[in-house]
Amino acid sequence: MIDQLNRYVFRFFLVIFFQVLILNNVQFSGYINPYFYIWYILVLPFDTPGWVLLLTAFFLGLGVDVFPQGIAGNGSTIGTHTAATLLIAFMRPSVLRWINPRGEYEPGTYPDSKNYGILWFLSYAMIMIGIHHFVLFFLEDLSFRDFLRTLLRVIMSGVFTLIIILFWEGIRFRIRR
Amino acid sequence: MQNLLRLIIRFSFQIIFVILEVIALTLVFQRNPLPHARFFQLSEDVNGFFYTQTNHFIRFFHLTDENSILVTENARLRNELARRPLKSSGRDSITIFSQPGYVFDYIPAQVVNNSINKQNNYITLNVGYSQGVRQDMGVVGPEGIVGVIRNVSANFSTVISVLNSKFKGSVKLSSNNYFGTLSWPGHDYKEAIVTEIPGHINVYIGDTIITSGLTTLFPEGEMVGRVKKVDRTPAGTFYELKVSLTQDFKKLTKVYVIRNFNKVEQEKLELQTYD
Repeated sequence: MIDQLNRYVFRFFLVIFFQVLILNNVQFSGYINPYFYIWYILVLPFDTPGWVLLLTAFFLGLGVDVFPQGIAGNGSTIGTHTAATLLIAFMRPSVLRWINPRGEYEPGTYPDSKNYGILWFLSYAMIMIGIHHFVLFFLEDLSFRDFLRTLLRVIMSGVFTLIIILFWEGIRFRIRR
Repeated sequence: MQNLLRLIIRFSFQIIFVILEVIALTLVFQRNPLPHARFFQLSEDVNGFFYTQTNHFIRFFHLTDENSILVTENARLRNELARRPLKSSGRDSITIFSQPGYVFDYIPAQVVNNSINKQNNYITLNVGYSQGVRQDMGVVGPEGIVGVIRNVSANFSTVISVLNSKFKGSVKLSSNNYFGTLSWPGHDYKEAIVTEIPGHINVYIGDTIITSGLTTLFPEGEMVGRVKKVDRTPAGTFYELKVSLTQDFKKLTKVYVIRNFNKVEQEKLELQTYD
């Protein structure tokens, strides 16, 4: 139990540092910005209590927010990651219930590709990434002025986030075997 | 009472979510600059530390590139110096530098964080008020202008990049001195637009755009870009020029913060006049 807690705490910081020190500096083009850190929320255990889930999401988002990509003064975009991550944490139980792979989730398993297959994980991740990126990019823009351009950013960044998450799941697969 | 308690427990997930989300959104929509400024004062030094550490490492890989840029810059400065007529002021006099003619000086700085892919891009520098940096100073790179200082902490400062929808700069065409406003439409980090150039003059593709010297931010003649495409506004009274920026923001490492010694005096006088 303590062992597992330690692993999650370690993973929490690992994910934040991976995001802010590496991914935030990788700029593929003007539109693409992968946000891998939400993977942490995706694969938390099924029996995570609600308040733990929400608080984790809050501090995860805040952790990414305090290292803004462009540090800003007025009208900066602080809080956007927090808001978006909180929302997907809130939606997580409903989304999981919605894409239930026939019957209940087995106790003691995790919502990852290892337990429920790559196709299930793909649809799960796509829904969560979609919600997160949509909220994130539109909060960042704070307007629907360039709706299509922002939507393009959502889609392209979302695809890259998905690729990195799937890649990471693939690596975990290999190590476990 | 007991019912209420049961209700709270039953909907605790929703309630916690709403409370936390409200906190997050308050941060997003916070328009009052003071808490923001405080927050950034705090986080800037923390971030600055991290970015400096990673930068020490990353800088190694850019040393060759950086050197060649600095060498070219040096050469240009030497040339400029050579072309400048020597002001001989008698054999036994001392040149006094605080008189007009010595208005600007340059504080060298290192970029420790930079973004180019947002609507509003910002840059962090490793100099702050201990090094003489203040708000609203101009920043230039080796190849052209970079932005304006926004927030300053003890040892770090943040810059509103030219690649920011809030950036406005006064620039002119070097061939005929007509001035206009530089801004960034927000998609390509290599391209900006210049508006308000009057429509009755001739503008040539490839003409250089330089700073106008009409604000206290930049001295006259700092490089900005080259005209890439000439458009007219619908009414035809003004040009809208697409400009390719000479400074490549993707490889920005060394910059200079421009200190204007006459800034306070000039702005004070202007303020009196406009009131």
